[in-house]
Amino acid sequence: MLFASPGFLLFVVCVWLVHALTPRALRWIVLLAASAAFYAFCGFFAAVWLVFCTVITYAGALLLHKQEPGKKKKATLAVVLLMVFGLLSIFKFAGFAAQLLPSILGRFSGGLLLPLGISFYIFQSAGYLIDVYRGKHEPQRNIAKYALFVSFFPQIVQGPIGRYDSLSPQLLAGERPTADSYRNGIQLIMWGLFKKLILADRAAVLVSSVFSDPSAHGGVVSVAAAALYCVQLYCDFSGGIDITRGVAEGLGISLDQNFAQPFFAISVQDFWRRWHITLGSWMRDYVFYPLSLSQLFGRFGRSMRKVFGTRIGKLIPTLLASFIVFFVIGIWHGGSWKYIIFGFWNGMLITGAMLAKPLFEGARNALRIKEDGKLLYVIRLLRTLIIIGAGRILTRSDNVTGALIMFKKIFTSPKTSEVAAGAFTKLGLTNEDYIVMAAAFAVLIICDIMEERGLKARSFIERRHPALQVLLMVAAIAVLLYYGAFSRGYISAQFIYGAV
Amino acid sequence: MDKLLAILADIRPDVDFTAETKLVTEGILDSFDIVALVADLNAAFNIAIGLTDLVPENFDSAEAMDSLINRKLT
Repeated sequence: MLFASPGFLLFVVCVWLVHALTPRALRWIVLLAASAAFYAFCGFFAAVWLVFCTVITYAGALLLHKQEPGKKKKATLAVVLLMVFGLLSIFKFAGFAAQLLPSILGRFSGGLLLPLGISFYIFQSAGYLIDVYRGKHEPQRNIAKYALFVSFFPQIVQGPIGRYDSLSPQLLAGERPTADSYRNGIQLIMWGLFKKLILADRAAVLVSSVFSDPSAHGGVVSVAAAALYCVQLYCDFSGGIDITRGVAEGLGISLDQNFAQPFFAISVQDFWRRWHITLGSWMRDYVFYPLSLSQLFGRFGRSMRKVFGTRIGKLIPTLLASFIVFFVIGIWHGGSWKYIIFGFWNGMLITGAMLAKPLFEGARNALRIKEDGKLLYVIRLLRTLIIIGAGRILTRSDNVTGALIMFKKIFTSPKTSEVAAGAFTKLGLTNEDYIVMAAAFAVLIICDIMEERGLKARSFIERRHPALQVLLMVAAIAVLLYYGAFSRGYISAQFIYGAV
Repeated sequence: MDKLLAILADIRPDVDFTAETKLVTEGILDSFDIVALVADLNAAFNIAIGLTDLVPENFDSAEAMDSLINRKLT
């Protein structure tokens, strides 16, 4: 079921209505039933793995809670985590393993389709399990209530990855949504649809046309396609999250933010703090901190200090942990060489920037460039956009060879004459499409600038006269219906991660 | 508190730790700083700051960190 489809929106309205009309104590059951119905609609076979993951982590958490701290408890955690991440790995990497060992594995991996949302519900339930192991909170004893936490329908497809201690109490509280909740929810859903249908789905046409045949286009067209792919990815992913958060708001539930104006990042590290925030914080809490602060890394750090001195020696274990995080994020996106290289690319950039920090500071001082000056800000902004765009070329290309062809074209064959001859009108988009995209992008950037400066676009609208608010809403619906690229729908999670 | 402020100044000399109250929430201290800080605090005060202690409330200000250290010492 597509998020940006009339069927899904009708489903949401029905769930909102039933939820509001149900007594408070039973509202969580409505949410569970809606989640089960949504998931079953997406495929019965896929639901088997969701049930498996739910039961295993539910039972594992109860067992962990009973066990005393020690080796046995650690072993229990390791076994359950191996089971759920093993399941994820089978689906994610079966195809990749078949590429490496075609004669042995090829025949077994052909029919494996990634179940909807499996990465998200496995990360969410693994986080719950680790928190119970750490004693952060008690385990949930009611399996149906736990199942709701794992499968809450708006977020299961593409996140945000929720934490048990903040999400589950909201799901179970059954608070009646207020008029503001519905208004905010509808606004968020419309904003998400705007990003997806007006921008992302249009950009996708040009992007797909260029990336499917990289050797046929010059450098200028390739750069434009890479830039538009960045816009497409951001609009589709963050638009989907807006819809998710909007649906949840109409149910009286507030989900975590997943994006914070990533185009305004001034370094790669800053970008990853603003992009897919809940995945980043998951990695920080469950991979980066445990590794960096482990005894093993501590010993490694002490030995590195003897070799490289205090500053570098102290940094090396942290950088190694950071490198591992990016490697994991890379392979989480999918089993393919391009994602492995993508992980290394980001890991190298961040570790390199940390190691070279004194050099950059020295150069800045020598050139007398102000740390908080506008010039440095713009340079950093552009540098980050270029680096991120280069990484996106790699992930959007069909394979590493395709990406290399594109890079070669960009540096050696810009073909400006191709642009003058109307190349952009032969890539599936009309002049009207470009005008609509440009106008929509301007709206998007203005809203992001407002958010970046701490001004909420939504509260700006709320301060207007009610009649004007209604007029704005009607105008927004008209724009969505008239300019939305409804016929170009596709399942976003598949293109964000290669597969769900 | 002075010992704590000296450690903090060593890790991030550019931050005024006596004034800031949203060090983690506003991203002034990043995860790299937190790791360096925890390692130094554990060594300097002979305490064991665990993974469950790594929440913004414990590191948002020097005062919060001081209170965390005192809790760990008792």
